[in-house]
Amino acid sequence: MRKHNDVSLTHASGREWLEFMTRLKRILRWIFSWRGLVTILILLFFVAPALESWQIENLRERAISALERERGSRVIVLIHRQESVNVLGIPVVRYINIDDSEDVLKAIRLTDKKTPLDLVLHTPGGLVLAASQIAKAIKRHPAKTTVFVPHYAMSGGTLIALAANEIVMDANAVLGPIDPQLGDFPAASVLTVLDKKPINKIDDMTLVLADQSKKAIAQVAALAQELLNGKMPVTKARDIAVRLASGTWTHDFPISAETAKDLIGLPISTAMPEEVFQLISLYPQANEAKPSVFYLPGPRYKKGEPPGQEAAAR
Amino acid sequence: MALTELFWFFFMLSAIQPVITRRMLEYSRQRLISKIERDRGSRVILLVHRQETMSFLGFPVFRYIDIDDSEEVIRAIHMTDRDMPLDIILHTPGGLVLASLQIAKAIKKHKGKVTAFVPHYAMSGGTLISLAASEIVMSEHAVLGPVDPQIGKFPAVSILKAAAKKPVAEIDDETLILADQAEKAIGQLRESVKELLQNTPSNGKVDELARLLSEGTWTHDYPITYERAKALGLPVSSNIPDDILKLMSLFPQPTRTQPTVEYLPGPRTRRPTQSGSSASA
Repeated sequence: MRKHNDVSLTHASGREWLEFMTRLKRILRWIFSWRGLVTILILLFFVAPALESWQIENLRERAISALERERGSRVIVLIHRQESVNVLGIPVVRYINIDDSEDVLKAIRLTDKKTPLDLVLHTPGGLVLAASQIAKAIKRHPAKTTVFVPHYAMSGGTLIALAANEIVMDANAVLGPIDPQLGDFPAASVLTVLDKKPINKIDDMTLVLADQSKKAIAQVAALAQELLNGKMPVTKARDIAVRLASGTWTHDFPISAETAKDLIGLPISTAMPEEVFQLISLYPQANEAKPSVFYLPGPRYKKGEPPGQEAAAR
Repeated sequence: MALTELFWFFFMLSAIQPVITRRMLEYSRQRLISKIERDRGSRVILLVHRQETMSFLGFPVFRYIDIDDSEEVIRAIHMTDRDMPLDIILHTPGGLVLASLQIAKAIKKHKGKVTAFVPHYAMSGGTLISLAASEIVMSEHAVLGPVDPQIGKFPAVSILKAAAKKPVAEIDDETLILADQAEKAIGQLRESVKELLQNTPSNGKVDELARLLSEGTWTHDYPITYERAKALGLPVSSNIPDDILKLMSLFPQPTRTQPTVEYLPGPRTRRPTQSGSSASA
């Protein structure tokens, strides 16, 4: 391959041209031979994906450091994309687990006490234990902490957001209730069985679950109140904590920025920096072979933009 | 030697061929979308869920509106001027309430006119999204569906009915747990539908309409046709542009070896016009 490049760069006089053609022929023959084919296949299947992922890694690092430089802060990104299927066709669900909390805590430990923390959250939630560990670490950080929610941060994600000094949401982003879930059931719903049914008719398993439910709700409410303390009067903090943790809504209820601000009274701003969106778009869905949303890329303006605008924005 | 070379040549050609076909399909989609955008002066977003059988092990993969879809749609809305009209083309069996509601609310918030196009069907979550649009353009045979929530495998309304019929001491604990969720889910969805239907022409009937759609009047797969939707007071019209129907045919069912519907392509007209017209079509 190297030789071929050298030759084609030199000036092609008659003789050299002939030489070039023989070399080209040899290269072609090499390509169409077994060894050549195997080499090309290896390049295509192993080297190309590795290069691609290395490149995206590079872009991510650059985006994060750009955001860090602009805000003078430590930026931590916690993104859970739902990979729809793995190799065997089994859906993979990703959520906040102990590994995540370990990594986040490590990052916080590596951050100077006076450096502000910015956490970008995109998550359906996860283990209460892991989420509360992260939340407490954020609460304990002396410098300013900001949580960015570009699209959604349900359940455990919301719990983490409550710990921050400021929550920055996109206008269309949502938070969710933080009522604990036991197995498949919301703890709050398990408790309603106790109210409705005479006790000797209730299944033993349900009673066992109900006991756990009661404790879980009380614990999460207490934690949420602790996280909100210092940002608002104690009674208000307790009020919000209980409302979010006691199953006022179903667990997938979307709490929009306005609802969070007006009804619940959380400290929310909607001034999301553009860099955050750019950052999150660098974490694409794993298998995007068959996307279901289509649109032409680039922004659209009502009028008065030059026609070249669209191409430039790509 | 020549034979092996020929063999490799064909091998490579057949390896590249699917890529080229896909690129060409993609290109014709892009061209048609940008034509529609130019004609209507709008941003076009498609939300298409084709149900496919996975070629690998033959497992069926069900596709529905999920969080990634809502993220992508909202990203497109973000990149659109606030006053610019928005055209959203829906072909979906529905999906997560959370994701659908997020899209619906984002659409509702958009300043420019929003039109939802339903060329074939938009059930459940798809209907929820189209309720947020200021106009729903359906093809004559397209259908919408009720938006009553589903909990696990069961319609929330049916769980509530079951719980109401039996004496409470006899009801299974699990049913009671589900019933509690069902009650909340229905209430939330009714309120959301009311909010989405605010300012639609059928203002007087908003409460009734929201109840009808979200409280399980029908089964979850009940087709609400164009006529029915109109009678219900939804802002529907039936003049769907040809380009949009054409665009849908550029989103073929993937990985289907044996087509189940067959016909000769091209339009059929009753009157014999010029002899060349059918050939050129």
